[in-house]
Amino acid sequence: MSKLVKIIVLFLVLTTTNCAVTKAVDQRITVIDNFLATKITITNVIVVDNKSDFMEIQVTGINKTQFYKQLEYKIDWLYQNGLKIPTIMSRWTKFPVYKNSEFSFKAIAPKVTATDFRIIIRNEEQ
Amino acid sequence: MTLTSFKKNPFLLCHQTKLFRLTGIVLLLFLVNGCATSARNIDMNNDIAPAVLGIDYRDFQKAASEAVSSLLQSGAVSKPTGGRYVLAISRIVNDTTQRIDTDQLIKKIRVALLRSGKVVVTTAVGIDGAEDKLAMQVRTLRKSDEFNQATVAKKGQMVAPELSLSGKIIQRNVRVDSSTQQVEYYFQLSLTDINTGLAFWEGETVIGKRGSNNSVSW
Repeated sequence: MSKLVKIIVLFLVLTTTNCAVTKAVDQRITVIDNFLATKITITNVIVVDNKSDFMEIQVTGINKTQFYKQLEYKIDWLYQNGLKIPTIMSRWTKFPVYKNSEFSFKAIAPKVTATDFRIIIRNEEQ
Repeated sequence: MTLTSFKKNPFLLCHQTKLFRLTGIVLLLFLVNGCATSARNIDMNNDIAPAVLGIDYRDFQKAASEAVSSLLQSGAVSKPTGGRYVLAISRIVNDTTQRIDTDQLIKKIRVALLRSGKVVVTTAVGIDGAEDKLAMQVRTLRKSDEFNQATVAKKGQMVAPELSLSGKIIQRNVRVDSSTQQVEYYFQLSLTDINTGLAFWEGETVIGKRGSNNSVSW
């Protein structure tokens, strides 16, 4: 194999690895902007039932860019049967993401009967 | 139609002028109508319109949502013995330059708290009298022979409130420079245990806006 072919193969391997979709830490969280999805990574999701039996979650991630961003998340809370719970707490909520830093946000379920959730994250005001 | 015909008949000239004016007015009306922005519904789930200096529905949604999240997280509305707290709405002061119906904020909080299953709001007691006066009024039917007395509300059935929600919306205008102003809104709420008079929970949401001095926030 010539040196040129080796370089091309190496380049292809590196490019493919870089573009591969990283495995989401929690399937319930989706970054809906493709470009943004390569720039931020969700690293941890903590789900607890608090002392009043409300489900509480904390999502942590990392901003891998050199820029401060303001992002928005929206949570849909679900009953055990998968039905969505209508609530004013399901709204686009802004949160700050500082350059090269970890970020996190917390949320609480609107009812004790909420057993699951879905979160979508996007750039501010798309 | 020549100039000589106008000279011969001045009435014809007058008539022509009127006709020109009328055509001009009609054209102007068409132009104005054509340039007017047509009304359209707001997509409340994804409103990307620029912010306004005054308080709009997005600010009420933010303040109410943050207040409810904070209330539920604090555990202040979770009764240690189980069941639901009875909440009365006290005075919510509007200390802004805008004419605000504070129910725009409070109703959202009430609905969310009721749906949480932890709180029920009384409409029989309020700072300016009962919100729903009918609950007391139907009790006057106790003496009426026209009503089946078994269906009339009995004495001692109403439930007194255990908690009271009060608050204030404050506005502060700050001059940034000759062309820019900053308007700050503070949504402050307190949840008081009526029995002890102690505030079980307090919360504040601050919303800041910057805009042209030419804009008015009222």
